Amino acid sequence: MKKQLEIKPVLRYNKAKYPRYTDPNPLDDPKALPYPFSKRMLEWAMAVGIFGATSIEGMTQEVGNTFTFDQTGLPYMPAIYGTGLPDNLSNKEIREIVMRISKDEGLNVKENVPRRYSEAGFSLEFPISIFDEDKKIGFAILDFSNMDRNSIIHEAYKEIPKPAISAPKMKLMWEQFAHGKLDFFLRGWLDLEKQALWTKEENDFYKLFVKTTFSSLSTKEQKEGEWLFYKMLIKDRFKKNEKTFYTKPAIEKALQEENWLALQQALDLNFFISLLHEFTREQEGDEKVLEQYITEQERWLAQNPGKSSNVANGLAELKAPFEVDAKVKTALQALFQKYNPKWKEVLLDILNQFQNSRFSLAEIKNLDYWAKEKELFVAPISFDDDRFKYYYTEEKLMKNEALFKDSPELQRAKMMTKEAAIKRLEENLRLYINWAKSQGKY
Amino acid sequence: MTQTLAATFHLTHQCNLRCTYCYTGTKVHRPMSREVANKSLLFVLDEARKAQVKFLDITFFGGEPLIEAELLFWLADSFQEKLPPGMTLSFRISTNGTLLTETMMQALAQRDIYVSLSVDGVPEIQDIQRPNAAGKGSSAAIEKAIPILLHSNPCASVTTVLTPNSAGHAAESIDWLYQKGFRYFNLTLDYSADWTMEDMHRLEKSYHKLAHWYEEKTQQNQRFYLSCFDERIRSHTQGPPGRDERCNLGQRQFSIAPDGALYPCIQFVTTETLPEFMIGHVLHGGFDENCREHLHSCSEKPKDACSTCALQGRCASWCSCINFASTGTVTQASPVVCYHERTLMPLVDAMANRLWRKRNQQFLHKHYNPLYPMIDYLEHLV
Repeated sequence: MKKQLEIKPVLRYNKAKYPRYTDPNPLDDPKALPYPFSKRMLEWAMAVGIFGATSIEGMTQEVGNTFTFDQTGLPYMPAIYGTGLPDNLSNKEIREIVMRISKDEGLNVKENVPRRYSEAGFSLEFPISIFDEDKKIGFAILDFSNMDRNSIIHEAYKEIPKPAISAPKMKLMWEQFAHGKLDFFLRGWLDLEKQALWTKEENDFYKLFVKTTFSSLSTKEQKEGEWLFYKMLIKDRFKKNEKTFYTKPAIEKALQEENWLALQQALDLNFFISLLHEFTREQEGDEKVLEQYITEQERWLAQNPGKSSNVANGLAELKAPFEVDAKVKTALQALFQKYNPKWKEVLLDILNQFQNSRFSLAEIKNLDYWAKEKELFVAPISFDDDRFKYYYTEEKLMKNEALFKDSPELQRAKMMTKEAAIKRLEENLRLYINWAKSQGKY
Repeated sequence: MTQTLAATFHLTHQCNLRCTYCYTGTKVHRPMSREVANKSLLFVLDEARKAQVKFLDITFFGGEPLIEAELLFWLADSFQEKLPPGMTLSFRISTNGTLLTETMMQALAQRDIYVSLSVDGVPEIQDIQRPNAAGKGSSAAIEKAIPILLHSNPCASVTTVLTPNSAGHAAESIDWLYQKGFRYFNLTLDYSADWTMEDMHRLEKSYHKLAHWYEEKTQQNQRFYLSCFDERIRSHTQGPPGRDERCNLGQRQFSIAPDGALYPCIQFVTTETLPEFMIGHVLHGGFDENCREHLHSCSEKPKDACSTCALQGRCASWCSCINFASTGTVTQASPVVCYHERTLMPLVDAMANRLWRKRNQQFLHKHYNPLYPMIDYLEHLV
């Protein structure tokens, strides 16, 4: 007998997880992909100039520069709790994709092309990862290996307030430090530290530690906590005498000095020595050569009180916490092993070359300007561009999707999330190339 | 005030096919006379003016409307001539395609008449469900018409009816039509049929296959519209259709039978007169407002059986014509619709969830980008 149908109300229904009409439009998410125009449509639309009309209210991404500075996510903001970089496409993977898409779209590209840009009054030099020199269309695949790290870290993580400290106040602070007193203005110490140029990591670590550890305490407790922590750092440095900025003799000398300049000179020299040690630790520089450089630096500092040293700052620039490139290492090694009377010039030249092999924040920002002026179309593809990060990390997938570690489902989900990132990259590359081609230089 | 007025002209009761599920009754040569056509034209224009609508949608229906091609073209030309300023006119024809020659297509295209083809899918199904008057299959004729139609308009839509017999073939029929070049699919049920649980189970299996097909095509960035899936997703992403978007049974949309009788929808126009659903006559004073209002108020009455249902607003139980086809009245919800929605909705939502989790670009733009219809249309035309 046939079973007939009947009306049966559904009493509970909650199966649709995708955004409903009362939720924010998912296309407003900056990670949302632009409309997937077909190649045929793109070519046609570029020819008739239709995209102005279809980009109303940002619902379709305007076919324009899809790699503006704003999209790069720079300057880089380090994660507060040190969760590390999110999963994203590797430099190598991005490079392969960019090469493939560039060729698909008819570009004749080369890899690692140096580019010099000069205008009245200034000139810039930077490397372009993949570039078509005829059409002036290319891509700068940005990661820590080709960016000037000092310039791309978010200012909030670099800047330390610089209080005006009088000489008597300074002396008082040193005395307080020598006697282990804690009632002083900690920021003053930090300013001294800045003069001595802690490494970026030390600065970040100190700030984050203080912020996260003491933020819930009273002001007095915070100061005590900071002081305790600071003493621990200094103690640790004294223990590792040869590697610290503040060697014991330098501190002792500084405490005897009556004026700030002498103190600063001592710190500057100490800083220079520390940098030399940093560089030569693994490269076994010649001690006599280093001694000679130190003597010359000391003499220079004595003759130029109050002036900061270019060479020390140059070394500091090169001493990026991440690995410097091989050429720089070789050049420095040569300098530290054999005395060169023009060592300061050579050092600054190395610095110059190093900077020219990397993008500074200003150069990345300028890419927008050059594209707007239709002079050069180089798209920065940044490691911090949200569009090319994975939406789901392994951790998130395991937590949100209840997938087990090493399960085939997890592997598949990871693969899908990576494929999605690749697709987003491909789409944006195609849009960019087509837009750049339409700008009159093609 | 409504923005759009939609009128359907049933040009004849005659048809050269004998579809197994056809609800319009005996096929007789009883075309709309020129007098009725002229009166109907003036009546429609007058109604449009009174309602101050911006858009006037005219559909030509039958029987098979191309049998009365001369009348059809006369009406289209006359509408163009007499259209009040400031009003936008659009034409559509629903045809079985058997008479669609290149010359005919050119004549339709010249008048901007959008053609919607009725095809039930793979040739075997088409031949069984849509035989000609001599009982022979119509698939061969249709296969000739499809390229002619798509060459003229790549955005032409196709309407496919699923019956209990063809319920298990939804996916293969849609894929066949896709291979032929169609991208806009209206897939609907024969709601008047005697559907059983067994039929519905076969339909459900077929929908699962269709969901897989939909998902795969979407991931390949293919552009298409599949009514039974896209409308259900739409009901979630854009909310239930507002009162202005619905036909409102005779308020915003009406049908004119070949003899000039006015009905609220095409479902009520048959060879036999259905006086209880007649809302007027073009030769006898136009609308009978009492009948019109009565029918409308009946259709708007809440359906008690649905009052506690969580799918209310998303399901199609508001459509009085479907309710009429299924239950014989406009006041009762259809058990076929009910079962169909309960089956289809979770299936569609699960598929949409998967596409959402992948942040599928095509899915996102199709359902959340208000400019999608326009861009999609352009993509197909370029």
